[in-house]
Amino acid sequence: MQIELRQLRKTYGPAVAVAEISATIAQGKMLALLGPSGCGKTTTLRMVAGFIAPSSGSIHVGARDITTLPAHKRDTGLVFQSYALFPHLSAAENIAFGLRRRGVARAEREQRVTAMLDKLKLSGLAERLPRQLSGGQQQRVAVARALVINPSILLLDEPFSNLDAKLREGTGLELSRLQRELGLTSIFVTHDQSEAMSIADTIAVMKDGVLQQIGSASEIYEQPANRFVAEFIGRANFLPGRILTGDGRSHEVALDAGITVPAIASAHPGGSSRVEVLIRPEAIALTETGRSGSLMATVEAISYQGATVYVHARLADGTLVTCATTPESSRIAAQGDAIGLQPARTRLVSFPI
Amino acid sequence: MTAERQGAGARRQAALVPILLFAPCVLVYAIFFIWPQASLLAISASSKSGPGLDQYARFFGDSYYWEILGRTLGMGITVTVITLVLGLPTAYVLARSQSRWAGLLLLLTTFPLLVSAVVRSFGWMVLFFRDGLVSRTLLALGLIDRPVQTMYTMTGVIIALAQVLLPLMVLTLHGVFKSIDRDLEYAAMSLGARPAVALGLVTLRLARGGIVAGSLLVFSLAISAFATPSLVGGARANVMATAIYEQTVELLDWPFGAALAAILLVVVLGLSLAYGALIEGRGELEAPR
Amino acid sequence: MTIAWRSPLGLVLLLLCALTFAYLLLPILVVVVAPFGATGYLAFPPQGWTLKWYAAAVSDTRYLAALLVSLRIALASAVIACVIGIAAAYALTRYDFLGRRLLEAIFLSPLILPTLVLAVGLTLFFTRTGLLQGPWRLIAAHVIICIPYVLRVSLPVLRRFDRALEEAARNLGASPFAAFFLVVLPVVRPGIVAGTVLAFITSFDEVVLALFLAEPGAPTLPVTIYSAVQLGFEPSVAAISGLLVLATFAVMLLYHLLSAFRRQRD
Repeated sequence: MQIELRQLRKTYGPAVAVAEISATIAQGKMLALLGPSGCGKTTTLRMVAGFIAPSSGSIHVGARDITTLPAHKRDTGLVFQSYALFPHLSAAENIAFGLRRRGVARAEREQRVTAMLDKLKLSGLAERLPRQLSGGQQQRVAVARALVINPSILLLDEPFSNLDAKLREGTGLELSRLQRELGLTSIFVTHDQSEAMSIADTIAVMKDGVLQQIGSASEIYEQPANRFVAEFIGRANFLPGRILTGDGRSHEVALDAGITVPAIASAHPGGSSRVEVLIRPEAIALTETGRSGSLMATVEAISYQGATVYVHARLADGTLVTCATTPESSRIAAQGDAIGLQPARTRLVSFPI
Repeated sequence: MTAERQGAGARRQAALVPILLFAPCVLVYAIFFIWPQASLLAISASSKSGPGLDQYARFFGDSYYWEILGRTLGMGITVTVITLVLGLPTAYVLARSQSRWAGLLLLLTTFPLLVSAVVRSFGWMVLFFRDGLVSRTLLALGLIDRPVQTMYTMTGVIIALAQVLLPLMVLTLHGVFKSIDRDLEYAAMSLGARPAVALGLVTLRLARGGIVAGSLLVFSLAISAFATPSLVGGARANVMATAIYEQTVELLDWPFGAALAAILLVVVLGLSLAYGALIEGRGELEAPR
Repeated sequence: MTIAWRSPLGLVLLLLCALTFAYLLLPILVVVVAPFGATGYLAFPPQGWTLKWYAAAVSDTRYLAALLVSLRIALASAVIACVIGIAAAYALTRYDFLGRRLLEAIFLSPLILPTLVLAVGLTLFFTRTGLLQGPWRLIAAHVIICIPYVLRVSLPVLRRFDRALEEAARNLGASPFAAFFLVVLPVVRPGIVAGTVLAFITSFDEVVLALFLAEPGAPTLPVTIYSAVQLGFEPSVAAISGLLVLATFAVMLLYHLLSAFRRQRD
């Protein structure tokens, strides 16, 4: 079912937790609410789940307005950050909890619980209490418990934050596969940008209760709406400059560092001609010094990460620039060397200062 | 608009729940706690001809009652000191011991709390009589040359009362010591402090708040205890609690008894406010858990 | 351990610790052992050996009647205090409002108030208002001193309770009411049981309020023992006290074995 948030707002006295968020999530798609802690993403999710009453605005699931519906009548599957498994009930009883509340007959209940245990590779663990399960197993029980009731929408509150890094990626892809298979419309809260980019169809970046940008992962990475989004998603270099020529969409920018680059204007261009140009680390190539169109820099540190090598170089004016390159291309640089940095001619975005 | 009205109704209903949850407790406290205590204060401040402080004037004008108050406070201080001297080492040993008996010993400490004070005082009475164990042990040790009667003396009351209240001190201090990271002691010793110095400079200093809190608790319970002074002390050990009992139940002078009760109440309340302020003012580390 | 127990300082500490336990347990040991003595008066250590005083205590109908009164009053007080106390404790931990801390302090205050003052106030109050009859006066008084114990034990347990569990239950279709009974209560049950047991023991052992407020014809067991001890030094009084100690010890042991067993099973 489609989920629609209309001008949803939550305030506590003078404090604004969520300042008007509007979003539509199409049937079967997943929206990631992404942002640092305290940005309002969890508050938004809890409003959808029915634990917090919005101050204004409305929430629609399908054709139905569920804004004032109590939590237990909303028919939403929710996977908690702490999993919130009932400690006094076994894995199977935890999964059966929602079915019991819905008055599903015993035979059908047992059959559905068994099917769900199989689906999440939990068979054999049915009688274990939560504390007798590993973190990964607990997480799967929590997912099973949310899915077994055939919810109309699925909500995920940082479901991977308590798993170790290795488990995280596999579990994420598995969950994403389940969600697609069941065609569940979902909202997924996270502070981890790579998690959001790998799982969600749409990402909503939030900060201080305000929605900064909503779009696909590539839109948000390549055309961030503002500096905050650019810095929050991936690594970013900003070099100041002045617009030479151009219309509202794209222009030539003379960087203070000495070269001229083409750039696309961000969504909110200002009136002034002073701008900052976003150059992603992978959009900078290392060259020998003196090549035309390149910046002079001194290599400060080289950080080897396997597939990628990050070269941190300082420009003459003191700005530190990070370049991402392959191990082969990085061989021309050593710490202390003078080197040329050549920005790509595409994919640069300018922001008004 | 319907949705909004429904929302307001649901919110009003939700606001009713905490009120309903609190209602029984608030009602019971209002009727059987606040009201009786308030009327006790009112009665204590009445004389034959209407409101007045006659009862208090009688108390503070008579050296006999000053003596009782002094004896009560002296008893409280002595009992507190005894429970501290025995309670500090015991709580420390139990908190730091890694033996599996430590848990059992802690349990054994709580056991006397589960036995009625009447029964415990009775045990002391058997020991305190002229031919009891206490007297005979002291004789055998050569500390006295003829049998002594500890029964019906202030000494007896203090020994018995300290035993009644000691478990509370041990439990309070045990919680405090447990919450002090033993690595702090190791750190002090690694910096050159001898164990005794480390104990004094680090552990006892950090436990200071808990020690004061435990002492205030024992002190206020000691000055309000009734069963032990009345059984072990008899008429000889006249303290505030027994005086209140005498005035009310035996002499039926309820206004004066109420005034005595009010004075005791003020002392205890003052101490517990200090206790509260102490726990508020200090970090969690020092407050008993 | 930080202090070597064999060092002089460690030995002093251990010695004081041993002294504490001897001091704590001696008078309790006395009431259990002394009635075995064959002398007509109480002596410790006992001389001779007889079961006559214990037999006398068990067959004395006064004590049996008093025991039943005590059990009835303790049971009623503990159950009422538990229901009222848990409701208040839940609300105290669940809702935040102005004056919450003050309310909590008031609810806990009977813990530090002299019971005797409480007793005098309540006696005056009941005589003047004529409120409540029979055992209910004492039960009301005991409820007041039991609720703080219920709160002391259940508040930390409820504070530790993960609110997400309640939300998970609501999310899965449980009404607030159902969520409380299906999830909150079972999870905090150990705290509730401990609080109720503590309330029961508090009421059962209490003597001051009982002296003032018990029905004239039906004193509780501690009152009966108190009066008997004041009148004389019959070994049978020691015997009933000894039985009380043994019963308390058995209950404590049983409680801890049961909870240890439950922990092991999990």
